[in-house]
Amino acid sequence: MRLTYLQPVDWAIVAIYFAAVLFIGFLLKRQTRTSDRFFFADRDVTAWVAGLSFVAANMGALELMGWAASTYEYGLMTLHWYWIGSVPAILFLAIIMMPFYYRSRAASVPGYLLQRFGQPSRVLSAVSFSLMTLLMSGINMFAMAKVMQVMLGWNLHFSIWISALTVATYVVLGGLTSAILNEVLQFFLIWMGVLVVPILGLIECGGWHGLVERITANSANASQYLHIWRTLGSPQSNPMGVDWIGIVFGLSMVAGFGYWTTDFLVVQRVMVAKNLRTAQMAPVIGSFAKMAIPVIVVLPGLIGLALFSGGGGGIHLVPESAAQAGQHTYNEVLPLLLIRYASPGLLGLGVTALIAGFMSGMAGNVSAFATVWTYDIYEPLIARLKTPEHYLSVGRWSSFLGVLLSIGTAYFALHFTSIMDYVQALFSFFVSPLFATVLLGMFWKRATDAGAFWGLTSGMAVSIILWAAVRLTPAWLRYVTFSASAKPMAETLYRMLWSWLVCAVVTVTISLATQPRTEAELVGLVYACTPKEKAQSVSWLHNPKFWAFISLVVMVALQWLFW
Amino acid sequence: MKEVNIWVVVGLLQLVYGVILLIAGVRQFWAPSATVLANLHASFWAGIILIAFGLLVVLINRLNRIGGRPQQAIRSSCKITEPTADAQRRKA
Repeated sequence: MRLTYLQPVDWAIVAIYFAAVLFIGFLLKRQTRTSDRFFFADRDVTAWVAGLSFVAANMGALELMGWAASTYEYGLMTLHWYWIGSVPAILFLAIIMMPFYYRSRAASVPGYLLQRFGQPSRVLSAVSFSLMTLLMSGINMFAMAKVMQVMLGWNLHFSIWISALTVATYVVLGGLTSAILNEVLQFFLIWMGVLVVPILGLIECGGWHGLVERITANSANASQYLHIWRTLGSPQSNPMGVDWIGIVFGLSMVAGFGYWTTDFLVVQRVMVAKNLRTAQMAPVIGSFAKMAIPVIVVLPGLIGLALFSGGGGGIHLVPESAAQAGQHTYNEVLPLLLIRYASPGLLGLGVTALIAGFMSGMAGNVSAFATVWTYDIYEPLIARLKTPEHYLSVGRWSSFLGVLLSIGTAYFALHFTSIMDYVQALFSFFVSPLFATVLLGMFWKRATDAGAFWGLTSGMAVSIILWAAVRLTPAWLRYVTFSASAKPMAETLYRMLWSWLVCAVVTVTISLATQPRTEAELVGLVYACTPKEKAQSVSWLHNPKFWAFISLVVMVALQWLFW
Repeated sequence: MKEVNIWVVVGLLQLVYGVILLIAGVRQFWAPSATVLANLHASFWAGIILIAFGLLVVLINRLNRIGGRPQQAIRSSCKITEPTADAQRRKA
C-alpha cells in the first residue's frame, strides 16, 4: 500500500539533491587534509552558517513529522518546545556559557569536562554520548525508511542503504565542514519543500479565523488546543496532562537548557566558529530561526486538526499504538497534507525536504560521534600522542563505522519495534544530569572532580530507575509526576527534572566533603575565577547581546499573542 | 574553486528547482493535477518565487566577491572580518 507515487519531475528533483550533496563532499575532499579541518572545520565557520546549522542539526525529518503529529494530538501547546523550551536556553548558551566553551578550546563538551573535572567524568559523558548518538541516528534512519514506505511504497532496505551510504560518503570525505554545509542546505530545502502546506492549508481553511472556527466546530473543548498557557493550571485541564511547573522547570529549565547547552551535537556547530563573538552571534541567529520553525511544523499540525479531526476528507487519524493495518496514524499528518496540496514537482521538493532533513540529521550525529570517539575515547584510552594524520584517518574510519553501526541499529529496530520507545527514553537519561554537572562546573568553583563524577552517575541511575519503575509498576506514575493522568511526554519532563535534582544534590554534597581545585587551575573554566574581559567596542549591529535581547522580546511577545 | 561557497550552492539549487517547478507548473495549466486547490497553480508560482530567490542569492554573492573580499565572500555573507582580540591572542 502506498499513498501516492512520484512522477519523473519529482524523481529529477530528488536526484539533483543527491548529486548536489555528493558534489559538495567531493569538492571538500581535496581541502580536508588535516585533522583540524576534518574535526573542527579549521575553527573558521561564520555566524550565519554556524547559526543555521546549529538549528538544522536539531531539525531532523522525524522532528518535523513528530511535532506536527503532536500538534494534531495536543494542540498549540507544542509551541512551548520551540519557544520557552528553546530560546532562553539558546540565549544562555550564547551569552553566558559560550565564552567558557570557546576559551577552553576543548574539542568537545566531554573535552571541557576533562579540563574542569578530570578523566572519569569526561569518559562517562563521552561513552554515554557516543552510545546515544549512534542509537538515535539508527532509530531515525529506520523511522524515515518507514515513512517513505508508507508514503511512496519504497523498499525499506533501499531507503536505508542509499541514504546511509550517501551520508557516509560526504561525511568521510569532508568531515565536519561537509556536515555543516549540508545542514545549511537542508535548512533552506525544508522551508522550500514544506511551506506549500501552511500556505495552501490556510487558504483552504479560510485564513487563521477560519482555521480556529473549524477546530472549534470539530471539538467540544477546542480552547485547550488553541492556547499555550491558559490551560496549564492543572494537569487535568489540557490534553498533554502537564502543568506549568512541568513546562517551566522540566521543559524549559532542565530539558531545554540541558539539550541546547550540553548536547555536543548542537554545541559542536557553534564551538567551531571563527572567533568568540561569532560563536556568540551564531546561537542568537539560531534562536530566531528556531522561533520561526513552528510555521512549517505546528501550523500544519493545526491545519490537520481543522481538516481531519472531524473525520473530514474521509481521513481518520488514530494514535500509533491503536493503529490497525490500513489506518493512518497521527505521525502521518504532515505527509498526508503534503500529498493533499503538492502537485507534481512540489511533491518531489517536499519528499526531498524530508530526506534531506533526515540525512543531515544523521550526518550531524555521525560527525559529532567521530569527534567524541576520536578525542575523548580513542585518544586518551587507546592510542595516545599519535600524529594528527593518524587521528584524521581514525576520524574518517570512525565516521564510516558510525554509519555502519547506525544501519545495524536500524535493522535491530526493524525486528524489535518497541526498541524505538526505549531509545527515545534513553536519550532523556543522559541529557539532564550532564546539564547539572556542566552548570555546577561552570558557575560553582567549589565543585570537585569526585562530586561531578558521582553526581553524574547517580543522576543517570535515578533517571533509569524512575523509567523502569513506571514500566514495571504503572501506579508509580503519580509519584514521579504528581498526577496519575500524566501522558508520556509529561512523564519524561518530570523524570528529567528529578534526575537533574539528584545529580545537583549529590554533586554539591560530595563536593563539600572533598578537596576542591585551586583557583589558579580554574581560570577560564569557571565564571568566578575568570577575569572579566574589557567589553570590545562593537556597534550594536554586531553585538550578540543586543540581538539576544531582541530575540527575548520577540519570544515574550509570542507568548502573549498565543496566551 | 578554492572553497565551497554554501550560499552559491543554495542559490543555484533554488534556481534549478525553480526552473523545474516552473516547467511543471506551466504544464499543469493544461493538465491540472488532482491535488486540492490545484486551481491556484502552486507549482507555477513556487517556480517563479524560487527563481527570484535563487537569482537574488547568487547575485548578492557575486557582488560580495567583486567587492574585494574574494575568499571571505566565498565562505559567508557575514560581515565580521576584522581580527578580534581572540584571534590576535591565538596568533600570538
